[in-house]
Amino acid sequence: MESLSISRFWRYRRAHYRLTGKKCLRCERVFYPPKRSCPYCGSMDLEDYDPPERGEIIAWTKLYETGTPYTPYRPIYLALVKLGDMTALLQLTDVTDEKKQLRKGAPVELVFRRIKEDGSHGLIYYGIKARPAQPIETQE
Amino acid sequence: MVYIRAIGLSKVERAYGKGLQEKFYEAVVPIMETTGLSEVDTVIVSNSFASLLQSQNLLASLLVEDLSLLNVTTLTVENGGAGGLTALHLARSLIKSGESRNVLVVGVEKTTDYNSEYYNAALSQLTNAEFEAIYGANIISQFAIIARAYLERHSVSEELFAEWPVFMHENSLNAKHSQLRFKITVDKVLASDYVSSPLRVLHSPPFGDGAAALLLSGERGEDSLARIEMTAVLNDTMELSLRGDLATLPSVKRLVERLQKKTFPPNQADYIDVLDKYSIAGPLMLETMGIADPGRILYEIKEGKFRPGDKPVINHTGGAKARGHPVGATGVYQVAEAVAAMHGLQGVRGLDYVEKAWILGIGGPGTVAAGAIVKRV
Repeated sequence: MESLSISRFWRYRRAHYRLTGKKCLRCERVFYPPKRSCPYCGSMDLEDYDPPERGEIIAWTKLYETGTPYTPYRPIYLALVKLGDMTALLQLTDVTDEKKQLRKGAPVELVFRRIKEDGSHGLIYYGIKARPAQPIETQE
Repeated sequence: MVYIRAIGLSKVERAYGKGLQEKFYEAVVPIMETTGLSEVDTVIVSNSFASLLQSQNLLASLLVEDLSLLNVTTLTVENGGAGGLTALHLARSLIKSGESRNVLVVGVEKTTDYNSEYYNAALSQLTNAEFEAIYGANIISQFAIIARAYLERHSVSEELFAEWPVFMHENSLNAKHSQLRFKITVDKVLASDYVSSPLRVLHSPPFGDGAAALLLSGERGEDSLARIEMTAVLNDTMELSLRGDLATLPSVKRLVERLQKKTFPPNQADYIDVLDKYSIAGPLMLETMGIADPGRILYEIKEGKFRPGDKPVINHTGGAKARGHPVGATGVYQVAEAVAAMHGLQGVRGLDYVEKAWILGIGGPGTVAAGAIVKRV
């Protein structure tokens, strides 16, 4: 149904490749996706915000009823993830144990993965997904 | 003042033999047979997906060709599931301003021309295409995340949550045009597969085609059925990541405040209809309206409240779950059904005590909320 567009993806590359959001210089809140005004206080005085690469799950779902072109990959996991001061909706990947890894507060880390592909033309979008991570204290 | 002079309800169905044109016409026939269309100067069509699913734009202008209407103002409105109520809001505004005198509002949607994968892709258009849908999100996943937040917040079990679709299917028997006219049980809901956890198949609206119509006029006539007291449409963020509290719908909260300021609070309504997308939106909207305390409405439904004879009666025709949810048409159904219930028209079980109705809808995951307050005349 949908053809990939190089220009459409490339114009938001900072968001797609680094999850660069915005920080409001007036109310100091951080948000994603980027907008030209702060959704909380309306200020247009904003700066870029690059989130940390680790974060935690706020809420998640396992989506079976995907549309094209995700049908071959279903079910997919989606989660609202807290990354520092920023929240983003991301696809979760590499889930091996739902009960342990998928709950409010569970740690995740960002990885660079294939997001979407256009089978007939061979175009591929790459971008950020999140995967379950070990809690910091158990890491060596 | 703006009055509803006539209504048209067509069956919500998988109408493989009918296109947009046929469903549209079907909804308008009852209006042609009562008041006629000779005084219509404006036609507003609400639809969400024709541009994608039927490769059709300029819908209102095309569809009125079947009605022999020439030299009328035609508008097509897209506002997701809030489109029908948005069209009503526009119609009321045009009449109040004096720009139009008699407005035909028709909601029409054909969702069954392709398989569910294709339709699910259409449903992803109700999320941010560049930053949410790109990861595979669609309206189902967004409501699943909202549902999980609500269930966790209020410690609502899956069993209790299943009371909503059970209630809606019970109500579907009150209207002949409802798509799924049969009862279900909590066990049956819990035995159905997940579509997006914690939402199951039996929390979801069925795919269906539908069309409903309203004829509005600025003058009260002998044939007037109801008066539109107030309408409103208000936005919120589209992206869940920008919302502070997932277990609420801020657009609905602000809409309720605006509507009740000019009219009366929801707990004084005799009849309430809310767009219960993926079941979870029903409890959320009703609790936002103050019909029950947060986290409590499902207990009250289980106790048997809000049935015919009660004030308020809620989602009398089965809601999105059982009446069906032909996206752009649903808001027009909601209003036409309230009027039909007031007068016992077109196969809707009459409720002779209903004088005042609150009707609320949402587009996307509460990205926009729209509402109408209707009184019997």
